[in-house]
Amino acid sequence: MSCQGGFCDMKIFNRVKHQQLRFLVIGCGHFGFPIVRYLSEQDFTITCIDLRAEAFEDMPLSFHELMIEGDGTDPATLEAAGIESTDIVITATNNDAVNIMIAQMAKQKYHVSRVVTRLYDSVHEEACSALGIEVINPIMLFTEACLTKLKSSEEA
Amino acid sequence: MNVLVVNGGRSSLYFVQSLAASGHDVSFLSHDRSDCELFATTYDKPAICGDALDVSILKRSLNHATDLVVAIGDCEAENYTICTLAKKMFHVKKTIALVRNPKNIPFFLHNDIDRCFCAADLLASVTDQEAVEDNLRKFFPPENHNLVVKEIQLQPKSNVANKELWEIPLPPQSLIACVLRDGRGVIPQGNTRFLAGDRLIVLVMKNHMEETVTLLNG
Repeated sequence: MSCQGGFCDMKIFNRVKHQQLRFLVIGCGHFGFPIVRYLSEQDFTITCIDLRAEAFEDMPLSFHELMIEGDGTDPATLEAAGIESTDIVITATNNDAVNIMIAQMAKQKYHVSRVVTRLYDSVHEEACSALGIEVINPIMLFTEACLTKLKSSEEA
Repeated sequence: MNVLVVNGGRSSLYFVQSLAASGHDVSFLSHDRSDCELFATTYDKPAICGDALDVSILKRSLNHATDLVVAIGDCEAENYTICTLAKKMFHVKKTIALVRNPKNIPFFLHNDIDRCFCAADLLASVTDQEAVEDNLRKFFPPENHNLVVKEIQLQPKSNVANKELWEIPLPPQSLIACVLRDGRGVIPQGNTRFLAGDRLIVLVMKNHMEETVTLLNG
């Protein structure tokens, strides 16, 4: 696992295993699904929410996640997913406004200590930063990784 | 008032039409090109076509005179984000958002959005009112036309202007149910003072109506 999105800074992976911290992932599409799969392979406790039941079809039954079909901006869905006892919320839908709203609900309404938001469209980065939303921009991560690889191959 | 209407599709243009007819200066921002073209042709004013969550576009759509931002798109999260940005980044005085889920209204208001409109809530309240009216009709059948609900605006020369409710000798079988003043409705108590211009919603049996109207505005 590479060091991304501040997880390594917190040395969170070591702590999480011991303390059984709970993840809540909202959005299980092309982006969220591999995150859920990876985390469950690592035996983390995960709950995931998606609007579409089809999103869970490919999820192996051996994973012990709780899967909830519903709207992640609905307080009833978030509460059914146990957001009040969640340690880390990952908003991974393909709609930045939805990610922003859920991130703010998680922080303000449910006092979740760690909220990480996927940025779908880079043009919304300024809006997120103005609203104090911590985002991970997959495109920038990829670009930076490319540049680092290029630099290291040039140096070699 | 300078109003920026954001998104909302074709139906938002009817809303724009009503605002413009009431003399408001309306601008329009939408991600839908055909809605923007229709706005521009109808009002002979440029519409801004773009993504309202792009801060540079939202900034271009607002000016120092913008008093109100109304976000009425289909996506409630987008309406929330637009209104929050308008308030926090650009210090727009007032924002109104269309909300889909009534349970989210407290969260919107907590984030300084001034007003929320929720179709589900409006429908529920209309249904409630219908139910109340149905019950009234059961007890006061329309064929008797006994019960009258009447709105009376107090004139400056009204006998009851500047009087408190307890001082007013209302006829039997009559009730001042509500006072509408400055856009707000108040259920009057004994010490409520009535003012000229107040609109009173009065429930009265028909045989006492004339007497009541004369007392209030005679």
